[in-house]
Amino acid sequence: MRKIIASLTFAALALGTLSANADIVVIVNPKNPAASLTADQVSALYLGNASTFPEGGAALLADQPESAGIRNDFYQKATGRSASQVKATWARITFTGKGTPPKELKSDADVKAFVASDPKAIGYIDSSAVDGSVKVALKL
Amino acid sequence: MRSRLSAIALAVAAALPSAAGAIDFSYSGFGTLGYAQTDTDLAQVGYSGMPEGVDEDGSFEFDSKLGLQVTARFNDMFFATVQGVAYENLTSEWEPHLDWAYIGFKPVSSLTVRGGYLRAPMFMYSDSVFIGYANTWVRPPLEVYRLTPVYQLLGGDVVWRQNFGKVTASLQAYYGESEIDTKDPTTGSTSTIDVPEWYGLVGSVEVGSLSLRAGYSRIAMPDDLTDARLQPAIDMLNSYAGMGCGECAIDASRLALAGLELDMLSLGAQYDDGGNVAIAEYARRETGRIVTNDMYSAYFTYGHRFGGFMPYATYAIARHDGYESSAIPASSPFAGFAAVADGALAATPNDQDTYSVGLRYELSSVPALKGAVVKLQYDHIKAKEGNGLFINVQPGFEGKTDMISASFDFIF
Repeated sequence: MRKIIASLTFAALALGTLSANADIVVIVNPKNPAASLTADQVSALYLGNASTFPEGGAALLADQPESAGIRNDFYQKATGRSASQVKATWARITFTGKGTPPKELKSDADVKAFVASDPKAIGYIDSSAVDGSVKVALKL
Repeated sequence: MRSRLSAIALAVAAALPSAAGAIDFSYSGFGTLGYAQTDTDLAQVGYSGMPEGVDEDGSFEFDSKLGLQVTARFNDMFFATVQGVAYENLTSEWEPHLDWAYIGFKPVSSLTVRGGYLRAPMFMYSDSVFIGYANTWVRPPLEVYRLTPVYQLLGGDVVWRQNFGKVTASLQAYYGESEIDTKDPTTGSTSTIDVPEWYGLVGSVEVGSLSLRAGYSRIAMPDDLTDARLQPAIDMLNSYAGMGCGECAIDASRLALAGLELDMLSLGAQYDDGGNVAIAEYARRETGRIVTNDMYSAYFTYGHRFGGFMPYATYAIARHDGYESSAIPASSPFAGFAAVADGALAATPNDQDTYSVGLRYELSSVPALKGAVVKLQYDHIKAKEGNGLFINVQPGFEGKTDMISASFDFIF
């Protein structure tokens, strides 16, 4: 019995470690002049506090679907707020005409394709999905 | 109103062809299905001037709203937005209104210039007061949010917003005019009061979970605004003034609505760290008059999130400020007239306390909606002096009521 509990504990620990290791990366188009972005800069964009990259170019934001676990993890790590808090913030911004919310796409692959096709785009995906079509601007 | 609307529509239409083909349209909407009920039929909870507010018969109209928004983005610099919202206005009719209709210009990323119909940010939530989904309460505390009947600006604003690392600062200046729709409860006839001038300035700073804001606004009412109920007293006092009673003229001018100017000051703070939510707001109205008198209101709300649930509590106050009695001194030969003035001046001490508790619950996924919350709220509203902020008060009212409210708020 003790053995089973021990191995269950180990399994739980391993799972916990695994999910913590699933890095989220913020990606931009390879043509984006920014070599990297800080967490504050990404947070400002995704909370509607900034609408341009530090170099001044307009930013086009991509989001993951609400059902995807990565969405809540991203907002927690990048902005310190939950995805639902951020959604209420964007509702206020949208209906007072102060900005346009991030465009919701279906998957890592869709976000990557969107960012690869537009020099203004920015998105976030699981680090395992990164390839040469996009540039990693920040690891969360 | 209609001719101005068509002028805006024409301007939008004129701007369209030049960018045809590249226009990016986006559609969105919000709504609230709300119900509120008190335990008395001797007074009602509502906005000043409403023929019908909330009482023991209950109301679906008071909090319910449905809004639709279309934004057309012509290029990186120019955009136009139209937002129609159905809600109950001061005439107590639930009907559609064109709330926002403007053309915007963004010469640089930190600056936006807009012209058309806008909601001015007089108080912390004035421009988003209808977006129930984004707000904590079933409705923002009435003590503050009913201090002015003016909400829609026809004019322009300039918004500057700049991010400096962890800090975001913004300044918004607006200028224009407005209108107030009113309805006479006895005759049922509706009329419109023109508000010839309205301007204001708001500054805010956001640092992480904390945001602070300060705003000033001035609203000028028309020179020919009158109140039939007060006119006899005003005329009488003015006739005494003609006989040499200078203080009678002062009393008469305090009673008059003509040329009324409202100076509004508001200070707000909001803290939200994901778990704790705290909101505080103070608003002060200065008019130097008796009707629409000098007063201040404030509230404090605290809520705590437990997953999708957030219980919250609010304490709100309204206090009057300034004159209540005649300016005529007892030593004046006209002291006998002070009674006439006092009768009219003993107007409306509107001191009131409200204690509220509520529960906000975020629904995880509702088909066809981008987001939805359910709220339940209980308010204990107590007039401290006179009839507080209650409207349509009948004889025998004890000056307090309990109100229950429920709402389903969504965005799509």
